[in-house]
Amino acid sequence: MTRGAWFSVFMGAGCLSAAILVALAFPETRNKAARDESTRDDDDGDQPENSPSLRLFRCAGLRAWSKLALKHATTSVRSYFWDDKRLGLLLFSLIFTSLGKFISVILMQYTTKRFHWSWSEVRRPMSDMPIFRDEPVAKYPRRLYYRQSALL
Amino acid sequence: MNLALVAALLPLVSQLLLLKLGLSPLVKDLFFVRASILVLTIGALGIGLAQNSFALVASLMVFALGYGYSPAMRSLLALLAGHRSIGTLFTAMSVLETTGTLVAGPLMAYTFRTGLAWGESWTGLPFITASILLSCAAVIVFSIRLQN
Repeated sequence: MTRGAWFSVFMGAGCLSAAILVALAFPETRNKAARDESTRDDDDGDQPENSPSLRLFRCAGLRAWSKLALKHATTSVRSYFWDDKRLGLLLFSLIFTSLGKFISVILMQYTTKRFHWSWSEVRRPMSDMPIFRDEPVAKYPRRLYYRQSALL
Repeated sequence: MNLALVAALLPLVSQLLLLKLGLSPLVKDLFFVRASILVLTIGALGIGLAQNSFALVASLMVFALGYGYSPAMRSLLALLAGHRSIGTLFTAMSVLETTGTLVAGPLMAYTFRTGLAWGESWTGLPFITASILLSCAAVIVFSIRLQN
């Protein structure tokens, strides 16, 4: 049954609203003792209004605060990338993976060009993977179904 | 499929590795990261080289199995960072991911245009490029050794 393009937009908006409600209802899972400990140790932690950097910003102004922020950033970069090479390498690999995962953006365009599917046909395999379904082929574009049935 | 993967398959394998095989959370996360980057690389290459719809859908399924990469990587990095400030670590991760995304758009567009210019069989060039980039990440991930 065809319902038009707006139906999927409203469905998406409805699901997103439900997800927000569920997320808002999540209970606090972090141990309170651990949280208190981390706010004592960590100046960029959970209570920004009490952080030393914000106190400095209020007292000494933007220039001193910028110097402190730059110093903090330099220390962090050195700490993550130089002092712990293993951590630095893993962080560096994130550049490649975000580059690689960007392919989903042109996937539909590629499929329409290469296999001459229509845009509505393309949406199905992108959003509805058949790994846990019993009837994958019948749900897919006619072209695929025909090709598979020709093999039988 | 992503829902089934995140809600059922990954937690199941995770519990299996932790409880049955007795692996530590660090080793378990590294296992997930390695497995995910491997399927992402193979999936992207498969999409790029697919000659028919069946190969494309099969490769898409393989690629989608790597969906757990990001959560596993975040968990691994947080465990490796230990007591150091997690907020700064996650900021660094976001900065690097955003850098990658900034480069990715023009790069993918360029490779797609080049592939189209080279002919129909090269239309999958962006996916082959993505596979090469993912294999660079795979080399890094597989070279990581955990200390006892």
